[in-house]
Amino acid sequence: MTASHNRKRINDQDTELIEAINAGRSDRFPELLKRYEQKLYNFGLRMCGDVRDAEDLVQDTFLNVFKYLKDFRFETKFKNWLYRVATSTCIKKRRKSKFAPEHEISLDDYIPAESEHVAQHVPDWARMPLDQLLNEELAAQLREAIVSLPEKYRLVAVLRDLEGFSTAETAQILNLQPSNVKVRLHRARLFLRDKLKGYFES
Amino acid sequence: MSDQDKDHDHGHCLEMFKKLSEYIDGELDQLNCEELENHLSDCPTCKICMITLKQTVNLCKEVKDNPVPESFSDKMTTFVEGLQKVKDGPLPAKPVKKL
Ligand SMILES: [Zn+2]
Repeated sequence: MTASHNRKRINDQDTELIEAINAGRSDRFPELLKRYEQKLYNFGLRMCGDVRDAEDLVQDTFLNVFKYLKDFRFETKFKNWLYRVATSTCIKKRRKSKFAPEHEISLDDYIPAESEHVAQHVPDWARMPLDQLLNEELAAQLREAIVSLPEKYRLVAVLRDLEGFSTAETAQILNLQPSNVKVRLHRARLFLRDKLKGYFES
Repeated sequence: MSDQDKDHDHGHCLEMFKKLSEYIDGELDQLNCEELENHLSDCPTCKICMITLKQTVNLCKEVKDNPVPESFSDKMTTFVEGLQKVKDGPLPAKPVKKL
């Protein structure tokens, strides 16, 4: 963990429950499941794009949480530690899959062309209020676009823009430098913007 | 940069383009932020880029959680309750494939 030099203990809304479980009240473990089941299920859906795989991710993550909870040192929020477990579970799983081939996203592909005299105005979709714009169809398009991101970009985009973690938290969860998180996030967003542009302009 | 040149300094555009996400996230320091805002005010291409990128991010942030299917939730509860029972015995070495 990047913050291992920082021995400050972090207390949050889960501290009491985890201390209880680790002190022998393993009967309270299902409470922990109830708190995070929906978050992890949706994280799984966003990462895998498939209900079955999302369910497997939730199950495998909670199995790992059950195994390793005693090693949790309260050095981060529990939620961040949980996502670290979920993320490594997810990476191990995807490695065995042929799905979403890994490739680098190059900035060059998204830089506005020098001679781009087209579209010198802001497109309608970028002006519309979000609640008018985001219908079922667009949500499905967005999900599909996210799933088609190469994994290392998808992880960063999902953690930052969908799960709402900060740059520092994402760096910690993924064991990356914050600068690296920023670079990947920018490329992921450009990729997604391009997909949305394609959707709106077709 | 000359004002008759609509594309002005493309190299500068590239440099600014790399910082758009940090700008959107409010992570640029004051100096970089001012430089970028100056650029955006006289470069429509980068400005449109920033606005569409920002809308993309806002859409991502707006995506709502799906509810967990009840049948799966029930299976998970049974699964973790089962874990407690094997607490004193050996845990499965590999995650159980099927619920
Ligand atoms: Zn520019």
